Amino acid sequence: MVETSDDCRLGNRALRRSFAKPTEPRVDIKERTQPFGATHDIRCELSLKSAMELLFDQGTVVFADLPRDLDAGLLPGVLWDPRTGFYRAPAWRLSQIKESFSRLGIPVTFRENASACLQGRWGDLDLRPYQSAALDAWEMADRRAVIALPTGSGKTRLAFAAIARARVPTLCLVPTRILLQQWSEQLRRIYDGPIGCLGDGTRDIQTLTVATFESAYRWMNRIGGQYELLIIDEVHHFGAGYRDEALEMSTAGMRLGLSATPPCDERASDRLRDLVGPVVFRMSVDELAGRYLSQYEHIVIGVELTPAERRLYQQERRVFQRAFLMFRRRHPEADWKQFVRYACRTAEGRGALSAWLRSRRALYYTSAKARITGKLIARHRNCRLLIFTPDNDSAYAVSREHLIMPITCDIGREERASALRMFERGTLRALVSSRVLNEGLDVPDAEVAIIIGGVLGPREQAQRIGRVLRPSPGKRAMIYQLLCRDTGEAFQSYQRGARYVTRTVD
Amino acid sequence: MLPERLIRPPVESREITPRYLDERDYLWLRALLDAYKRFVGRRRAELDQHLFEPLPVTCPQFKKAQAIAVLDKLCRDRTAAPLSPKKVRETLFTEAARGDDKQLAIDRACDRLAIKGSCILDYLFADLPRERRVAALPAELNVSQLALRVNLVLAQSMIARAQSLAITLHGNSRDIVRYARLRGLLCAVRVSASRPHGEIILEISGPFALFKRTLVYARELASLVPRLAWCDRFELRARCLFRDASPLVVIRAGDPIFPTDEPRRFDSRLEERFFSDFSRLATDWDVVREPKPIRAQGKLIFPDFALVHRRDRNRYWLLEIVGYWTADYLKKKLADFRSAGLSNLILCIDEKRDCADEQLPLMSRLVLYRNRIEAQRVLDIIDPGAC
Repeated sequence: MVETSDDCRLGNRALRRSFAKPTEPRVDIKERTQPFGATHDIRCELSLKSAMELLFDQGTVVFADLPRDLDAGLLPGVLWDPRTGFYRAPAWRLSQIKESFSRLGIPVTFRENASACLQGRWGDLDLRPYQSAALDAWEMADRRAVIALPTGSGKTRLAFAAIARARVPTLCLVPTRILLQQWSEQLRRIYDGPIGCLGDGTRDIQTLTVATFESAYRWMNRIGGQYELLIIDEVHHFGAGYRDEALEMSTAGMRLGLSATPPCDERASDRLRDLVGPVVFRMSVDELAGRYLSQYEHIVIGVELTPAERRLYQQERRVFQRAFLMFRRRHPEADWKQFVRYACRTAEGRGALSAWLRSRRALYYTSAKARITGKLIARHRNCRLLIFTPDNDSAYAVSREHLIMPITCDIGREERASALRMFERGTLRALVSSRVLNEGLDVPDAEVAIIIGGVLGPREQAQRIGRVLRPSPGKRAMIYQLLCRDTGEAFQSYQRGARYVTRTVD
Repeated sequence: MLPERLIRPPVESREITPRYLDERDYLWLRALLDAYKRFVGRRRAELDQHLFEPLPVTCPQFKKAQAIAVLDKLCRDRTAAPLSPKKVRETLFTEAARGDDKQLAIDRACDRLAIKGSCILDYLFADLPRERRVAALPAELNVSQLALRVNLVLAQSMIARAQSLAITLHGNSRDIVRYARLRGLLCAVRVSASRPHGEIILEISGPFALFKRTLVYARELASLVPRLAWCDRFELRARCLFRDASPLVVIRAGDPIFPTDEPRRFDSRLEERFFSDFSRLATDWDVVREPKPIRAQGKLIFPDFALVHRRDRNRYWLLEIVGYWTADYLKKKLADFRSAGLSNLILCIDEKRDCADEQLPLMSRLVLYRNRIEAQRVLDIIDPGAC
C-alpha cells in the first residue's frame, strides 16, 4: 500500500557530514548488476579540477564527488544506492576502481589509511629457497595471490616476510582462537611494533592486527578501510559463500592467501580468485618430504566390531538405507546435499538422518579402537603423541583412560596455552583432541599421530597428518589410522584417502 | 538465534506471522520449568538426558527445543568441585607423563593435591559443560514470561534472515531510527501524509545488502525487534530467506514478544528537567516529547519538543536543544527549518559549549542556557502575556 509520502534519506553520521546536501544522481543509471571481475572501458572526456574522493562506509566505498559526465555504474561493482543517493561499491573493489580511474587519468583519494605504515623493526627473517620463490611469485602477481604449501613448511614465516616487505597496515586473519594466540606470539618475537588482537575476548586494533575469521566477519564493516594488506591463513575456508563478507568488506588491495589444501571446487576457487587472487605457487608434501618436511609412515589398522556393536551399527544403518535407497531410486542423479534437504521435510526422513548419525557415532570409539589405542600409546611411550578423535566425548574417554591432556573447545585459552607449552617442554608427552588441533598448530616435536576414526575429507586428513611432519634431525613420523572394518567408515576412508595409505596392518 | 530446523519456516513464500507460543502451550512449558527446577544441583548431562525423553504432557518437539534453547541461555550452570579442575588436570596429567602406571600417577597427584584418590577422576572434568551442575533459573521467570521470551527469540531468529525491514510505526520512532543508525544500518524514512496520526515508514537495511544476500546484519536487524514493543503502534514486514522459501514475515504491535527494558524517555537530564519545569509553569500548554518528524532539505529532523496550546491547537511551537555548536552549524540548522516552512522554532543553546569564536546568528527566538533551560524564558517567547 503506497501512499503519498515525503521521501527522506538518512545515511550514517560520516556520510551526513560529508554530504550535507544529498545530490541527485548525475546520470540516469539505476540499479544494475555486473558479473564479478568484469572490466569496462569507460570512455568519456573529463575535465577535473581536483582529485576525486572515495569514502569507506560500513564495508563499502561511496563516491563523494563524482564528475558530472562520468557513468559510475560502469565501474566494476559500482551500483546506485537509492537509500542514500550515492554510488556505492563493495569495499574489495577499491583497487579495481582506482585502476579504472587511473586509466582515465583521474586522481583518486581514499583517506582511511593514507598516513599509516608499520613503524616497528623486523628481526631476522631468513627464508628457505622455496619460500623466497613463493614470495616472489606473490610479488609478481601484484601482491594478490594464494600460496599452497603443505602443513609444516613455514607458511606463517612466509606471511611475516610478506608483511615486512610491504610495510603497510596489515590485518592477518586466522581461523581459530588458538591460532590467534600463536600468530600474535610469533609476531611479537620477530616484530617490535604494536600488535593488535581481535578475537577471543580481546579488541585491540593496531596497524598490524591479528583477527579470527569470526571477529573479522563482525568487525570488518568498521575496520575494513584501515588496512592495505590482508593475510588470510587457511584461506580454503572462504570462497564457498559462508562468511565471505570478511574479505568483501575490506579495501585492502594487497592480499595473500595461505593454505595446504586450496579448494578443488570450481565455484569456490573462482570466487577465491576474485577475492584474494589466483594460486601462484604450489608444492606438495612429497616434494618437501625428507629435506624440509619429516619422512613419515602412514599405517592403517583395521579393527573388528564386537557382535553387540555390529548389531547396533547394522540396525541404525538399515533405517537409514531404507530411506536413502528409496530416494536414490526416485532421484538417481541427486547428491548427498539434496538428500539431506529432502529428508528434513518428513518425519521419516529426519528419522533416517538421525539413524545415520547414530550409526556413525557407534564407530567413533569402539572397544577394539580403545584397546589398540592403549597398545599404541604404550608402544610409543618415549615419543610425543598427538591423538585425534572424531568427537569431544571420545577425546574425554581417551583422556580419562590414559590420563592424557585433552585440547578441546571446552578448554579455556590460558589452560590450552599452558598445555601446549608443557607439551613443547616435554612435561606432557601426549595431547588428545577432536578438531582443535587439526589446523595450524605448531608442535615441532610431535612424532606420532593416532587418528581414531577416519570419516574425514582429504583436506582434514592432510591437515592432521601435517601436524607431525615438522622436520627435526633424524625424525621419522608415524601416523596410525584406526578404521572399523566392513563399515561405511572404512569404505569412505579408503575411497577418500587412498593416496595417503602406504601400508595396511591387520 | 535459533537454527533453521527449530524455526520450521513454511515451504512456500507467503505472508506469515511467527508461530508464537500462547496459553495452549502453558501446560508443557510448566512441565519443562519443573524439570529444570527438579534438576538444580545435578549434572547437566543428566538434565540433558531427561529432556531428551518426552515430557509428561504432549508438546510439539520443535517448540520444546525452542524453549530449551531459551532456558539454557538463562540458566548459568556452575562447577561443583572443592578445588579447581584446571589444577587437578595439570597435576594429574604431568604426573602421568612421568611414568606408565596409571594408579601410581593418580596416587602421586592425590598426594600433591591433598585429596582422596577415589574422587580425583570426578573432579577432573567437573568444569566441562556436561559435567557442570544445573543452577536455578531466575526467580521471576514464570510460564507466561518464558513463552514471551521464546516468542522474542523466534521472531528475532526469523528477522535475522531478512535483507531489509519495512516498519510502519507511531511513537518511539526517534529511538528506533537512532538505534538503527548506531548499529550501522541505513534508514530510509517516509512520513506518511495520508495517515492522520503521524505514522512514519522506516525502511531499514545494511549498506552491504545492496550487493548480495547477506547475513552480516543478522544481529543488528534482530536487535530492533524487542525495541519495537515500546512503540504505540507498529507493523514490521520483512522478506526472510530460508532454505526452501522466502516468506514475508509480519510482526505487529500486540504480538506476544518480550520487550527490552524501556528506552530512556529523555535523551538527557537537561531535557527531563525542562519537561517537568515547563509542565509545572505553563499550565495552558502541552509539552509533546516526540513530535512528528519534519522534512527539510532532503533530511528528516526530529525536534526535541513541541509546545501546543491546550485551547488553541494552532498555537504550536517547536523547541530544539543544541549542545556543541558552531555558528555555521546553527546557520545550517536554521536554514533547514526555514526550508521546511517553519518559523515557529525556538533554539536553546548551551552558551558554554561553543566550538568556535564566531558570533551567534541573529535570531530573536534564541534561549541561551547554562546547566538548566529556564522555562520562564521560553514561555515569555511563546506567550508574552501569560504571566
